[in-house]
Amino acid sequence: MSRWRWLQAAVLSGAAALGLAAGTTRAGPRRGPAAEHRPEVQRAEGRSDRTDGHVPATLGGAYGPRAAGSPVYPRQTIPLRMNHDRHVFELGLPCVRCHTAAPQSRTATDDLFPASATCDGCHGSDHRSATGPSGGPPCRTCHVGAGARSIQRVVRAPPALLHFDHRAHLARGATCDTCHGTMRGVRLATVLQLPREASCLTCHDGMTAPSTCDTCHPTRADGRLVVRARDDRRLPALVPRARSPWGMAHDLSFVRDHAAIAKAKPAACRTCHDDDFCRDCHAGVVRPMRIHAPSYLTGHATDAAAKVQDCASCHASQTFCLGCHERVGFGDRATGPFGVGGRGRVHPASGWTGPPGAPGTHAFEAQRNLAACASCHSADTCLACHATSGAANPGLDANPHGPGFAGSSRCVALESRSRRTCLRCHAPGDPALACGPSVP
Amino acid sequence: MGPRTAAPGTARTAVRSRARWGGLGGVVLLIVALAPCRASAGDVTIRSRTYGEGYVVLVPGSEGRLLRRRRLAQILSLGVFDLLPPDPAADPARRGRLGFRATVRIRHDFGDFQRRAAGRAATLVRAEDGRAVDLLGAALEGRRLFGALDLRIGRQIDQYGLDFFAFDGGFVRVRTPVPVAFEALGGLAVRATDLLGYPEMSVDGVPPTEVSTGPRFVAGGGVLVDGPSWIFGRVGYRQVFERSAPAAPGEPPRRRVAEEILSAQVRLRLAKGIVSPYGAVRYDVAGARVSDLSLGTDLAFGGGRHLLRVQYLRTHPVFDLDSVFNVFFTTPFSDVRLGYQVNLGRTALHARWQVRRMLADRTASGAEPPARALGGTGVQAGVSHRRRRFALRADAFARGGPEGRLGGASVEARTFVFHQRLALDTRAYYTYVDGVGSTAGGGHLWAVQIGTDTRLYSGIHLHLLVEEAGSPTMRSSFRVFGALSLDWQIRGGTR
Repeated sequence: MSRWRWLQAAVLSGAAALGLAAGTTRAGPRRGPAAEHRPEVQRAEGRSDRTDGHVPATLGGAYGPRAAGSPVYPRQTIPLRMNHDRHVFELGLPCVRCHTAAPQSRTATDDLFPASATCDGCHGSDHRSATGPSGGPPCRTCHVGAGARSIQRVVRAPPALLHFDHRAHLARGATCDTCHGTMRGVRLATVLQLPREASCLTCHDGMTAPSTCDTCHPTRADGRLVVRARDDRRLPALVPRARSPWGMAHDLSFVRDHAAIAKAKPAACRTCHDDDFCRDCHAGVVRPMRIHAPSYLTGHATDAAAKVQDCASCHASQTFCLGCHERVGFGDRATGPFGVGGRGRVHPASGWTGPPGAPGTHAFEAQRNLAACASCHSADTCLACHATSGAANPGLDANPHGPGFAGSSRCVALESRSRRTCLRCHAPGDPALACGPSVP
Repeated sequence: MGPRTAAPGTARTAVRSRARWGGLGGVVLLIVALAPCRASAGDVTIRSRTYGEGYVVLVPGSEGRLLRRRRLAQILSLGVFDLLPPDPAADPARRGRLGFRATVRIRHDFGDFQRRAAGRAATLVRAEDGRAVDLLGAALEGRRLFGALDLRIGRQIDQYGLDFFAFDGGFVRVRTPVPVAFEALGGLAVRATDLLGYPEMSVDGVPPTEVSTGPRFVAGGGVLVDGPSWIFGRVGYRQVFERSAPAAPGEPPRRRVAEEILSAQVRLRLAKGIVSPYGAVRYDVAGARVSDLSLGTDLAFGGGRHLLRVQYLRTHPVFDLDSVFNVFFTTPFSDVRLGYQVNLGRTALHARWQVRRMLADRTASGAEPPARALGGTGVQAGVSHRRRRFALRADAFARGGPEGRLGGASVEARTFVFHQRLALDTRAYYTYVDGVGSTAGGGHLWAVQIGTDTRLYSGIHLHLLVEEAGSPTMRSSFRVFGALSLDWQIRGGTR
């Protein structure tokens, strides 16, 4: 093993040692907000956040059922009668008159619903009584579905899966209306009165306030966003939709079209997905079911001829394709079922070695889809004819470069960087090795 | 350092010994240096995927000979995060993070697919599949360290070449007070023949059996604009090279480049997200041509209900510079894609059109191409409907071109039962191939899948699937597939 291999091993070992050493040495007390995302997640699911239910990308079922609610604001049940418009505009009450805890709230897990005692002050009720308010208004004045002296439905409002610091926002000059909008005409406030992404981005533009996703959305330990509150595949996931940042809307064709989007900003994908997610398909051991149907093996040659650029994103022609084709008998064999005259031959029986420019010849096909050739052949196949007769492994002097290659900058670039490749076809002293504009 | 043959035996042994002890000493020093730290690994993630499958493959062209595949693959990912001591005063969204994650893949083929490989195939198979353990990633990753530094050390993936490129080494990004950052990376490329290496994310073009054995270095860097919510941009450079070696007997030693690329990327978010254009280009410096270009835009209107996507992609095949495939005259692929989706509450409708051209590009000198362009067109439509416990998706497509014509449809459904613990999946596929470009012949291809996804426990899922498929050359084939996945995050310490 060369010293560089040892260096390579040392880099890997070092990285592992750093992680293990740091992770196993004396643990200090962890009372700070280091895992700042935990409370939101725990409250949302009612227990510890063991997982949010990631599944291998190769498996199907990406378009599963979807329960009600949003990935940020879980479904609420608020069986109350409450007219915000009247309280705020007719009675002139400030928001903090009822939402007393809001100005000091630091996290989205804080319960900011008015305490029942807050209502008692004006409504004359007495929620402290175990048998219900006495002498005041009937329960159904405020509680929907309440009987004469009993309440059967309760408020269920799981906290938003968000980071939100009311105190910090108020300190920076924001008002309730800035995020929640006006209460004019609003009776019962619902999730519709909670901040929407578009309004957040008004200030969170990357300059006035941070615009990274984890500014507002809780993250897992590894920094990726929590896409679901818990492991329930029916829960709506935090999936980019139309008008989402960076045009990453996951529409029905996103799997087919995501390459161009990901290439423009790979880091954007890492907001939710880690490298393992990419490798599930791009370096996977299992056929991705969203991409290839079960019968794909039989018909894949048609796709390979048409969409080789898509194939190449997951399959290396000289390992994956060639490895399988060699095993089942494709390749450089002149005999056998895939050879000339064989019943399963790939190339036409005649005319395959014809001149360039005519469809049905190997030159024509190779110019348009060389990767398809490389899926069965290695370079040696080409050298048999395309090497010069003076090369170490002589060929037939068939020039594959195309017109004007010797005088092109491409020839200069290739020769200056990998002369060894040139010498596979040319002898070291071959005048044809000369490149540059002066060469005809 | 020259290739292995350049050093005499004794000297080489001494060099190996020094390097070995140097490497081990470095590791020990790192451990010793970190031992007294008040580190606190509070978050551990465990992810395990166990895949098992068995199926048969009919050997094309043979008289009904079947190859049996029985494969088992285990992917194990372990992560330790939040290694830095807590800082109550830090802004949670901007505090530094340090973590480590490693992913190992163990695989084995029990079927006769591998055993029957002979001759050159056997050599290739051994090089590719003979090693059963792949180290897919192992990196220490820091983000926002000291408020301005991102780094990764170890085995990682670089995607800024508009591809997946695996290397062992370091990556660092330094942020500045303005929304501009500088990046640099360096290390050794991962190859199929390396110890714990794997082939999928290395430069293609040379079979593992013929690749040079010397170390391959990678170096690169870039400048990016990231911060404002409306723009991202980056310009980067990456080179993969080998140290100097004589190209042929009598030739002077030369440093050899395996890949050299320049890339640029940009994404914009305009009109409050209504228009989101993006683009990326890769210029192959060694090949003196644009090898990858993608441009596109998303147009979201109607309050986000409607989404229109337009993309243009242009790809020119590029191989490892050690391959003679690079010197052949080739023409690029070009795609124009147009997609439209409308979301109607629980239902989404989608339509997509694609036209592909195998461009007759000008030659290297600018001369007219020797032959005309060829192209093909495809259309696709889909609908999905989702309810609380049930989801359905149906797709249909048709495509035609020089490679032949295809048409087909698929339907899939999923429903949850038993308190959302059990998902039942059904899928059916049909494809017609006219056989022009298929070695297996044209005809009707069909397949049916029935599967389950059982939530055994929070984060533990068992997927079982059986499928039956048929085609003109393979009257029926049966496949059984199982996957046990575990995805856990454990919080340690006293938090």
